Amino acid sequence: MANYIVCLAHFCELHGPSTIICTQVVKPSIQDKHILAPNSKVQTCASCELYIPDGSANIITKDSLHSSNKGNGPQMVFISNHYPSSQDRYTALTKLVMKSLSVETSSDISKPMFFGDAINGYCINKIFTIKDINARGSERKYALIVISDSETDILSNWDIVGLYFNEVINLIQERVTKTMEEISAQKISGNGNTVTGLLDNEKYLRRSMIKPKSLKELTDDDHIFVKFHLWAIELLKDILR
Amino acid sequence: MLGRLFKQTPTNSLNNHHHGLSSNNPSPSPSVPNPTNPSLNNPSFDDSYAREILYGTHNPNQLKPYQFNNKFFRVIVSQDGGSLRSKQVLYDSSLSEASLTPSPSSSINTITGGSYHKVTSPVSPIPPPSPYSSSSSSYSKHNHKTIIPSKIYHNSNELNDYMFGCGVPSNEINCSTKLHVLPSINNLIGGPYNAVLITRLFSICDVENTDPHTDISSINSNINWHPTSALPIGATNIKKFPFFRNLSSSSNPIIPTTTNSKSSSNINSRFSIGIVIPLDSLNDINDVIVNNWDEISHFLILLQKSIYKKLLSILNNNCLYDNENNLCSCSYLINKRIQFPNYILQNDLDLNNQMLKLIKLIHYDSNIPKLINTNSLMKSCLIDDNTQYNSVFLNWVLETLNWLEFKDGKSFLQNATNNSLTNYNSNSSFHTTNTGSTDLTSYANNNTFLASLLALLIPMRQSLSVKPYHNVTDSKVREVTRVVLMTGNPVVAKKLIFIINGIVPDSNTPDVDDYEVNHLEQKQQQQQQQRQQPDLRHQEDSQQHIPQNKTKSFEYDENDCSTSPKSKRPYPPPRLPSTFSNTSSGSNNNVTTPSSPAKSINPIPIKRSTQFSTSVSSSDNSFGRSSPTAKGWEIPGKSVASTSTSTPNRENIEVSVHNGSITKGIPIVLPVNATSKAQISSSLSKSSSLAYLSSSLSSSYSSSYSLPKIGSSFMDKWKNSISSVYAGSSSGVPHHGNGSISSNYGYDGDYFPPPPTTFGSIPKRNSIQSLRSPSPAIEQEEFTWTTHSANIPIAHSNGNSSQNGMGNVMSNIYGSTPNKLSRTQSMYDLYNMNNEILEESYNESNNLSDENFSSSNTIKVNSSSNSNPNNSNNGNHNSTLNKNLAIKRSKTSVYSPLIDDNLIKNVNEHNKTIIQSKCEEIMKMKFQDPTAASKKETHILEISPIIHNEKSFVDIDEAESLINDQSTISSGFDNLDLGNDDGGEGLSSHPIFKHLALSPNVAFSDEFRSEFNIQSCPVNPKLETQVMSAMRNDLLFYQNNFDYSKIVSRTVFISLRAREIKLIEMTIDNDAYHRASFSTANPPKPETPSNGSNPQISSSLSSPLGSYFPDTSLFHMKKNSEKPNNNYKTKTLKVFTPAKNLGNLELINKVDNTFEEINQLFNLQQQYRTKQQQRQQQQQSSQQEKADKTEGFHDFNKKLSKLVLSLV
Repeated sequence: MANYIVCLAHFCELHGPSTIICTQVVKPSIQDKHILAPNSKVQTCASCELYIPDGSANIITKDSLHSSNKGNGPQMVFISNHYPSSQDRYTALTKLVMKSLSVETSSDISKPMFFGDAINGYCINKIFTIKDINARGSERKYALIVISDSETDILSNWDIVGLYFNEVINLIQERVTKTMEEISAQKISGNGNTVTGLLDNEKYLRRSMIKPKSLKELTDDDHIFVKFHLWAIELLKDILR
Repeated sequence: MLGRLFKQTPTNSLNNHHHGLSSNNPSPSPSVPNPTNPSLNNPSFDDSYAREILYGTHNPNQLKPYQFNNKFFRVIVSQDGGSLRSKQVLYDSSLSEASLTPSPSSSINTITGGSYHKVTSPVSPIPPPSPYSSSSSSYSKHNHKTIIPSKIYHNSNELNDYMFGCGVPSNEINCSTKLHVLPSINNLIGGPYNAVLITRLFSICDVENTDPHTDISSINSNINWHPTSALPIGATNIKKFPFFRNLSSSSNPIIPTTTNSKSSSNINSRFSIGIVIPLDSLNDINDVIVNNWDEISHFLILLQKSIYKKLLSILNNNCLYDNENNLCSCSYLINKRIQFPNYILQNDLDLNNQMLKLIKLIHYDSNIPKLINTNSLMKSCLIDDNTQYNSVFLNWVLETLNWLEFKDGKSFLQNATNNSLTNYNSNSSFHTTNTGSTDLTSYANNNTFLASLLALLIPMRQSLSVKPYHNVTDSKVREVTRVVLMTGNPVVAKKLIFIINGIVPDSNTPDVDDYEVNHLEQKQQQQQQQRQQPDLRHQEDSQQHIPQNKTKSFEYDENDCSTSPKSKRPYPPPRLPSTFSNTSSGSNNNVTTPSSPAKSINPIPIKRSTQFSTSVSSSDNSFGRSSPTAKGWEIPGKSVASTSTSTPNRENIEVSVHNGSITKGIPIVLPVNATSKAQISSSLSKSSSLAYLSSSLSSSYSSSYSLPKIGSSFMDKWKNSISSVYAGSSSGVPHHGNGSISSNYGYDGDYFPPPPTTFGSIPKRNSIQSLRSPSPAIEQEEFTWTTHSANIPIAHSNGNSSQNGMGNVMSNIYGSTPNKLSRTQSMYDLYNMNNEILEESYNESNNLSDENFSSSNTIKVNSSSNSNPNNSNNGNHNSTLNKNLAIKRSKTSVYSPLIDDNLIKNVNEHNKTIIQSKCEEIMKMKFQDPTAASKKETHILEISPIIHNEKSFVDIDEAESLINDQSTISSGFDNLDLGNDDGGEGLSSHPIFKHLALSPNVAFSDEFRSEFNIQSCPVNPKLETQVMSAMRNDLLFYQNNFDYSKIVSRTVFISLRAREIKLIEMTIDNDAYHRASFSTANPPKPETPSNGSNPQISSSLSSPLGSYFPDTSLFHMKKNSEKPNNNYKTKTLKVFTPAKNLGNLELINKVDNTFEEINQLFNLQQQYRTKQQQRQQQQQSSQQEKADKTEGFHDFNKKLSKLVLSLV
């Protein structure tokens, strides 16, 4: 069985290409090897941080792979954390994330692309941006990435992965847009003049306003990473079927 | 225009395969590999039965070839010379065409100095008619000249950015692969087109290139991350095989020591190969690109090696050597980077050929549909009792028996009847017959072609299920096996391919889920409700039995069996007098097939007994006999009630068949009892039908085997379909005599539909084949059914009496000939019987029309015949619906789980909807925050999985460290909002449908393709050479790029015309080579075939690979710095010829015996059916008999499954 990692990464203005959350599926017997220790939290900026509601370092879900009407498949464990605990997976993921966000170009970010090699592995990625007035260029660059160690297997799921990417990105972007509208509506309703002035100032003094922001903040959803975990599970279950 | 044609034609014959070539070629699909003979390749020219058995769907739309615009294919080679801003293009196929008018955007002529010449374009400047432009004629030479390439093609700078990436320069040296979706280009000429760019990045460097396989595997042994490429490429770097060292040894021996000075220079240059493949739609990426990824990778590897070699050779030639100082300088080496001038490869003719190879690769691999995974489907029937795909299994058995009888000339019938005779005489049980091997042994020395072939293939079928180009990682031995049929008659070959495909396990097994069954059921119920007629009795029946039909057909009657006193007897032995066998065999002998010598010599005395012939005809030929009524190529104006019982309702599609034949038909109006006239007319009608068939098939019938072959497929189908049509619509006057056609065409007369309707034949007439029969006249719809349907009630009203009389008369006239058709029919009938049994209120006369109608519905064209009161029964036979296969698939893959084509039109949309609803559900979830108490020292948040389908809720449980104590504390965070939208809940439980790539087995390819495991090719004297060349390439490819200890490439080469099976095998044994090289200091001698005991080795040769590929040493990657093992041995063995058989006799006999047992099973079943029908005629059908039928069927099914399972 091919190994897969589903990952949300972004181009941090401070740290460059960084992984935010990655989801792996492993057998229960080796689950422990893939769980990050409590003290593994690294000092990161807000935008790179993986925020889990209770402050945990890992999200796990035990589920069977084939939950179709044929019955249950093998029981597996889906683990989401900030980075893979396995050194090789970490290396592979880091390199592929770096390439996705800073090397590889695509004409049309609405289409996923595939690349990889026999050293690190193979990935299908899709870049998307999120509007944020506090970011450089008023947008933040994210990437949804599925990496695998099997070229054939990951490619055979090209269409499925692409569909999932589209949906997840749409949902995140919609949520961010909605949040922005709500915030601006609140501010306007609270103190119209001041806020308008502030917004104008932000517009012109954007550089000074640049600050890291988590996706949690952008979507105004504390459980956005839990949801990512659930999305990744659905994706993994479908491509491993 | 003419000038261009003349210029192209001699240039490359390949062009002819792929291009429309000229405006005077009216081929509708010029991009199909062989436009000149589309019927051979294009599956839509197959009949629907052939499509169904080969591809799993009768719907030709699913197999419609893609229309690639060859003009938009492109190969581009670039180098990264070190500049961040610009890369250098070394070769661009798009420029070859436009070279007459260099575009301003390309600064080619400055650097290369003469490298920029007009190269004869590998691609026709005339694009074939593309989906984008209907006016292909707008392309002209002048247009072409004036087009700036960048308007048609993507800018090469843009492509370079995609290929190399931009931003951070990397110092990687390993090969890398990329797949980009290119933006569609709007050009005025070709219209917008989608395309993908596949990139292969590689380096020329003198840095030690680590072998990812050895290094990574050692590191990753315990962490389960082992990157595996589709096909690895052997390491190539100039330190290990420095070009100057190579040069010194070959071309310039006076410079021996320059190596050291250069090897430390850390030369590293990055090169890229990009291939652009146009696509109709981006939804085709999976079908065209992904499913052929192995083959594309193989192409890329060969291309990469070729380009690598060219570049090194250019580098070598450019080097200047200073003998005194032992120095070497090269003008292309600048700052430790190799910098070739632009377009240095532009003149390379070989690259132009590579471009053609790419086009052919995509065309052949994408447009020749792969065979459906027959083996998996059969196994799902046999092992899992999945009755949904019973038709696959049935068709396989029947085609096998047909082949044995009509192609191999196995005289089944005589022996079978002999066997059955003895059994009947002794009242022995069915089991005895089945296991009785006394008669079977007589075949031991008379092995059939098919048995020999299957016995040869069975031991190697595992390797046959692996693609020729595939990375097999779990074995040290790589076996590549191909089956190549050389045939002049693709129709015949396709049958054999189908049989072979049945025994070859599939590399990917589709998920035969229950999903589609459930939904199919729902859909059918809906359809049924729509069609329900006021006949309340039938409505009740149908509603009552649908679920039973669905699940297991035997259950209902098994209860009855248990109560019946005779239930212990699996098959009630029909007490037929001994003359039965004589009758049948006698009539059989009357017509001997020239192609089947075994048949011709059985001097069984013919005692024709009218009495028994009657009975036999009513049973054995039940179907066959009914069909000839349809054979009448005219519309019988005077309908006779006796024969019109069979088909109350006909779909337009069948009507059109009818009409098509009618136009050619000879009006024959015969009195029923006019024997001689009937025979004449039958011969005429048959000949006309044959002529029609042969005209529709562009295959050669020169071979003595061709006619029977066609008969087996086409005639079955046609006969059945037509018969059913005519039977329903016309008086069905019997027109055909047995012997006439055989005398004319050298046919076995048995093969043709024997004379017409006898009473017993009627209920069996609804063969599945008849209903899905395709017809060339399928689009004609002028025929209306109202008049015919009006006849039907009349037929029913007096059907019994008239049929009795008619049946007797006709059987007397024509005698009885148990034939293949009747077997086919009765097999289907047997399985239909299943349904009959289930009907509680079994109505004899209605059942006839009922079955016919239900099966005719499977065509799903128009259910315009609702006016017929009998159609209310249609719901009773849901399982027959399933028999008409329409599996959702694409050219190269099938959707898993398997689904009916009619259920989901757009799989992509379906998947999108489901994924959308799933993701939205998750997005709408709301969670409670964890309580503060639970936050202590935990680092794992455990979330229970989402349960779709229900009021799915998600708990967030908080756990202690699972590593420590596994104690989980539930914090009870129920989600509050589940987004319980109506639509989402249902959809989320549905599975998505995934592409499951099919094995590269194809029915027919107009040229040999090394990517296919199983294929048939037209007769070509060079075919064997091509095959052997491909095999040598296999050895070279795997030897150079993989690390197998032993590589075997073998081909089972079948010449259908010569009835010859040849096994060609080439082997490289690295282990043996290394052992030998260790033991002796001398280089090992070429291995000689060790199998001295095999006199069949007609030729054996040993030759170094180098003789075929002189430059292999350049690419060789043997790690141990040993001399590469270039020795291989070739074995050619004629396993089977008409004169001798050198296969594994034990296995062949086993296969033959299995065939024989299956055949006996069928014959017995047929005779049993005869008996049954006789009883039914006498209206003695009782519960008891139904119980017998059920039991018999159960037993039959079990035995048959067992036998077939032993083969597949």
